[in-house]
Order: sequence, then structure tokens, then C-alpha cells
Amino acid sequence: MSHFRDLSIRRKFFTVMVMMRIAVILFIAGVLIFADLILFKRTMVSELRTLANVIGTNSTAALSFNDPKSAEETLSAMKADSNVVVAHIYTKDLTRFASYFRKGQKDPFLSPDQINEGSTFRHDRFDICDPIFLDGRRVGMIYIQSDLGKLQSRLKWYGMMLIALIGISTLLTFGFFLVLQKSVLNPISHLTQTMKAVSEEKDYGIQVEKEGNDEVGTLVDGFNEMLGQIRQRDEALKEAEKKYRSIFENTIAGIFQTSLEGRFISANPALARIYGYDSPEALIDSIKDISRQICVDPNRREEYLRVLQEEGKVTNFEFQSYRKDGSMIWVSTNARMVRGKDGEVSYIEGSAQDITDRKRAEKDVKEKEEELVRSNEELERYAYLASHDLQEPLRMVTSYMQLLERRYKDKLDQDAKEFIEFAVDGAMRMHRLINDLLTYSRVGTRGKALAPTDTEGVFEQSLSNLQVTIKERRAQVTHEPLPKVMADDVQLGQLFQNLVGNAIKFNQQEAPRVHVSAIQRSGEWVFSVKDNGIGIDPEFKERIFVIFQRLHVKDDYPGTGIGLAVCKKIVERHGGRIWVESEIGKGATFYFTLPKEE
Amino acid sequence: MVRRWFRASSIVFTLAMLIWGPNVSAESMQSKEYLIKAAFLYNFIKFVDWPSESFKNDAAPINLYVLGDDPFGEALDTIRGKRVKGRRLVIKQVRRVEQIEGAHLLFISTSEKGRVKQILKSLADAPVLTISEMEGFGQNGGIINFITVDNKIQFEINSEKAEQHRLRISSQLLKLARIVRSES
Repeated sequence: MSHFRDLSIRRKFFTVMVMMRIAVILFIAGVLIFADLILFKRTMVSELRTLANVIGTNSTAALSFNDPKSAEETLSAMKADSNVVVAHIYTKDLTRFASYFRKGQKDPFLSPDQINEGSTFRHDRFDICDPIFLDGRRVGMIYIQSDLGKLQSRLKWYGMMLIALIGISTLLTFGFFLVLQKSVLNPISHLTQTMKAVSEEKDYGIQVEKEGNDEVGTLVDGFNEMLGQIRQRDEALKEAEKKYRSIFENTIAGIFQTSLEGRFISANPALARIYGYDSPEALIDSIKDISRQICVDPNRREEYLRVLQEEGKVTNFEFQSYRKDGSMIWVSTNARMVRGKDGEVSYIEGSAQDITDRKRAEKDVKEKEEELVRSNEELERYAYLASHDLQEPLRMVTSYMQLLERRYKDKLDQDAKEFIEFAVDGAMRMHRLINDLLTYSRVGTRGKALAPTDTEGVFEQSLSNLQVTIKERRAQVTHEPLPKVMADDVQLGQLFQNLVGNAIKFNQQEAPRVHVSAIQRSGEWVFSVKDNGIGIDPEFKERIFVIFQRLHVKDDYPGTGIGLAVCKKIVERHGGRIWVESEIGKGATFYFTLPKEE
Repeated sequence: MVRRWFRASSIVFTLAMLIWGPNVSAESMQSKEYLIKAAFLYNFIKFVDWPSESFKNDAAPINLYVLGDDPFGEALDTIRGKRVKGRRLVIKQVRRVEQIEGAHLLFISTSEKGRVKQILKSLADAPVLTISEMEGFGQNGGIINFITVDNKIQFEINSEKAEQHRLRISSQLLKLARIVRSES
């Protein structure tokens, strides 16, 4: 039957149609013939019985008067029926009385195996055995045996009829089949051939011609529509592939697919270039084991695979690689595991970039930074030591100047006194400068570690330090609730003291006002110190934080110009920023940020 | 079953032949002849039709009269009173022609040989089947006459005479018989 499954529809149809017809004919003919044969048998029996009856009746006298010759004459009438093989008449005590044999009968004494009344059918003959009655009494028996010649010839005739019928029917079927083939099977096989052509040649431009509006027509329409859609998708796919192919080929990022075992499945020209190969093919062919041939440290590859297994992907995974010529480069990779439908890992795909230059630049920057920090620290240490050491000779100059003034006050003239006064004044200023410098450098070198600090307390302490000034100037210092921050409390206090002190100092109002507040913004606290003072020209708002930069003559506003520089240094040490917003005559607001308490 | 019975009966027959066969006397030969003839008489009835008016009613018997000396002896006892064609067979011996009124079959004994023509004449066309066993009986106007050919009992029939007597004789019977005609 599986053979039948592989036949073309055309053959299937033909076979089924012929088989169906033959089956129908055989069934109907079988039933008819069977019925007819039963009837025919009955007729045969009944005909022979009638004959037996006639002969029996005509033999009653012969039997009655014991005249076998006459009986045999009567029996010889059997000649008329060529199928009768033998016939016997028996007397009532069952001795054979008269016989008839068909001419050429080999066994003239063929007699029944047993004398059973009625008819018996055998495979090759049938016989009947009837009693002979006379005047209601049994006077003998008649036995006739007939061959089945009639039946056989009838069967033969039926057989011929059947063969003729099947022949004619097959011809008719073929006729119908031609019609069917033209209207149904041809379009289907045309469709099939087109389908085969399409799938073999991948030419989706083909259209199948429609021949009718039946199911096959619908099929053809559907097929054509499907082809149209496939064509569109094919084109879109080609377009997309071209686009992505172009990206794949031309991007500077290396794109790859690798097996878990460490072989390249595919690579783009950029990747080949990164690793120093002429073409992706050369790369794929040369690399048999990535961890051995590419990775400088095979353990990095192990880690890379472990992360991939655990998280399914790696991002910006950096490792050192060997190029073809043996030189070392830094590569950064983004990759992910690609799993098949069964959940098993099929391959790894991702992109790689040569970051050797960036790494080198990073290294340079880091080195320079480190150098800068080192030189800054050195400078601070130097400044501290220098200012510390400068104090000593300066004190000597000052002391001896004062000694000179005290002891030789009467012996010196007015000019000399004035000169001494200038010298002392200069020494005093220098002393202040050195002290300021010390303070400034101490911010970097003598600071405490940052700790959670209550700003409120620190601020109050600063105000009490400024108490004299505040009273003198009748200043009003207000503040909003202040938060806890991570800070060095001494430096924070200095910061407030400097800023509030400045706000009062650079103020010509009758009653200077200062307001301090803090707001929370994206992970840090922004503090503001607002005053109603003289304000700052926006042009100078950067300069004011530079050490020893002064905007005013020292007679108007005394000071060395170190306060804001110290503020900036403190804020930066805490990881924050400091800036000012102001206009001349409109007061100023200083802002600084501090990190939130952890 | 039948076959076994058939075999058994043939054994009985063989035994009977062994016992009685060698002792067949002239007398018994003669009685055997009349046994056959008695059976023939009985069988003739089956092949001959009498006109219906020859019977009083449906139950009326068939009468067989033996005229003259009875040659059958006890042989007739084998058929006496037997039923045939739905009627009883009555056999009677008569001595004189006057006594034959009502006979359907009349066996004329050889003792009446001299008076045969007279007897037959007296019967005229009455539906009586006349039977005898003397030479020329048929030619003389009798209907059935027993003859012996090759030691076998056969019979002659004068079918024209039978027709005269309004008796219908079956063609089967005629086929077995030697047909004779009246000689006038």
C-alpha cells in the first residue's frame, strides 16, 4: 500500500476508478450469477426430475409386467439429454431392472453409491433418485446421474460476459478519466510541476495559469498569492540581508559566531582585521582553539564562558589577545549565548572591538593623574614646610624690628621711625600671608577622615565663633533646618565661618542679612548662603576662588584673599562643587554641594 | 441404510433359493406360472379404465370372475380382497354365462374352450375385460390372452375389441403386448 502512496495523483485516480468499477461489476455480477446459478441448479434438478417422473411413469407397465426390455427402450429417451450419464430403473426391492448409459461412458455399470431419494449435488455431477408410483404404490425407483455440462457452459458464458463487461467498463473509465484528467488532474500536475520548479530554481516570479473556478482553481489562486507573498518577502529579505551584509562587512566592529569548543563559525572582515588576518576565511581556517591561539590568558576565556553560561551574555568583557603576527592587543567583547529550540547551546555570537589605543590612552591619563596628584601633594607639603620654616626668620625680623624701635626710639629720627613702622607692617602682613598659606595647605594635608556629621551643630559653632563680628555689624543670620552629611566637621565649620564671615564683611548695609539653607538634589545636598551684600561682577565669579586673588583694595576690605580658595579646597576634598550666583549691588548666593550621609 | 437393507434382502433371497430352489417340482412350476398370471390380472386393472357407469358408486368393488375350472388354485388368494384404484378386488368363480352379470374382468378358463365364441357373443359390448389363455382367443374376439414366449409369460391384446367394449387400455400396456386383431 505504501507503493500506492507514492503513485502520482493521476495514477491513483485511474487505479481507484478502475478498481472501483471492477469491484462494482464483480459484486453485482457475483450476486446475480450466484442467484442465477442457484435458480439454474433448481431448474436443472426440476427438469431432470420431470424427466425422471415421465420415464418412471412410462416404465410402470414394464415394471408391473416384468419387461426390462421395454423399460430400457423407455430409458433410451435419455439420449435427448446429452448431460445424462447413466440412468437406472430399480424394482421395488431395489434390484436393477433396466439401465441406460451415455455413449462412450467408460463405466457402464456406474451406479449410485447409495440410493437416496431426492437430488444430490457433487462437484462434478448431480444425481436424482425418485420412487416410481403406480396407483399410489411404489413399484420401483429411478436413478439418473447427470454431469454439470450445462452449468459449466453457463459459467463459461458468464465468465466471458464478465471479461467483456470489465473490458468495456475499463474503456469507459478511461474515457471518464480523460475528462477528469483534463479538468482536474492536469491543472494539479501542472501546479505540482510549477511548485517543484519554484522550489528548485527559487524563482518566485512564476505564476500558474488558472483553468477553472473549482477547488483546483482556488488552489491555483492560493498558490499564486502565496508565491506573490513569498516573492515580496524574498525581496524584503534580500534587501534586509544586503543591508545587514553591508553592515556586517563594513562595520569597524568585529562580528563573530563561535562554538563553545573555541572555533570560529563565522567572522566579518573587521574581526579578521582586528586579529591581523587577510580575510575572515583565513581567520576561521587558522583558529582551531580560541583560548590557546587568541587569548593571552586562557583563564580569561574560562571566565568569559562561565559568565556566558551563568548570565547568558557578557558586556564589555575586556581581554588581551594575540594577533596573527604575535603582537598583543586589547579586545572588548559583547556576546550572548544562542540556544536552539531544545535549550542546548548552539553557539556564541557577539561583537569585538580593538581597544588597544583606548587602553593605552587610559593608561597615559592615569599615569598623568597620578603624577599630578604626586606633584600637588609635594607642593602642599613644600608650601606647608616652607611657610612653617618662613615663620621663624620672619619672627626674628619682626622681633628685632620691634626691639630696635623700643630701644632706640629716642635716637632715631622721624623718617627712621616711619621706615621701621613700614618694615614691621610688612613683616606682619607677611606673617598673615604665611599663616593663610598654612591654613590653605592644611586643608589637603591635615584633614580628618569624612564621617557622618550633623551640619546644624557645626553651623551653630561657626556662628558663635563669629559672634563678635555679628554683634558689631548688627547682622542677622538665619537658617533653615540643615541635614546630616558625610564631612570633616572642623573643615565644614571653617567653610561656614568663611562664607558667613564674607557675607557680613562684603556688606555695606546697615544690618547685613545672611540666610543659609540646604536642599536635596540627585544624591547630594546643595547648600546655599545668601546675603544682601555688595555682590560680585559675574565676570569674576571664577577668579574669586583662586588663592590670593583680591577684587578690592585692602583698605576697603582687609584680608589676604585666601578665604574662598580655602572654601573651594574644602568642598573639593569632600567631593563637591562650589560656585556663586550674583550681580553687582544685588547681593550674592554661594552654593556648594556635599555628599549625602551613607 | 437402503444399501444395507438391499444387501440383507439379497442374502435372504440367496438363502431362500438354497432351501427351495433344488426342489422346484412340476406342480410348483405350474403354481408359479399362475402366481405370475394372478399378479398380471391384478396389474391389468391399473392399466385399464372402465367407463364410470360400470360401477354403482365410488366405493363399489371391482369384480373378477373366473368362468369355468379354476386353474389358479391358491394363487388368486394373493390378490383377493386387495385394493386397487381405490376399490376392493372381489374374485368369484362362476360356472355359467348367466352368472357373469356385474363382472369387470372375466377370466375364461380353458375348460370353456368350446364355448368361447358363444360366451363372448353373449357379452356383446358390455364393459368387461375378457382374459384367457388359449390360442386364438384374441383373434376370436377376446381382449387379453396370455401366451408363453421363450419360457416367459407375455400377452396379446386385441385393442380394437377393447374399444368396442368401451375399455381404455394404457398405451404402456399396449407397448408390452402383442397386438392382435379379430378374424371374422
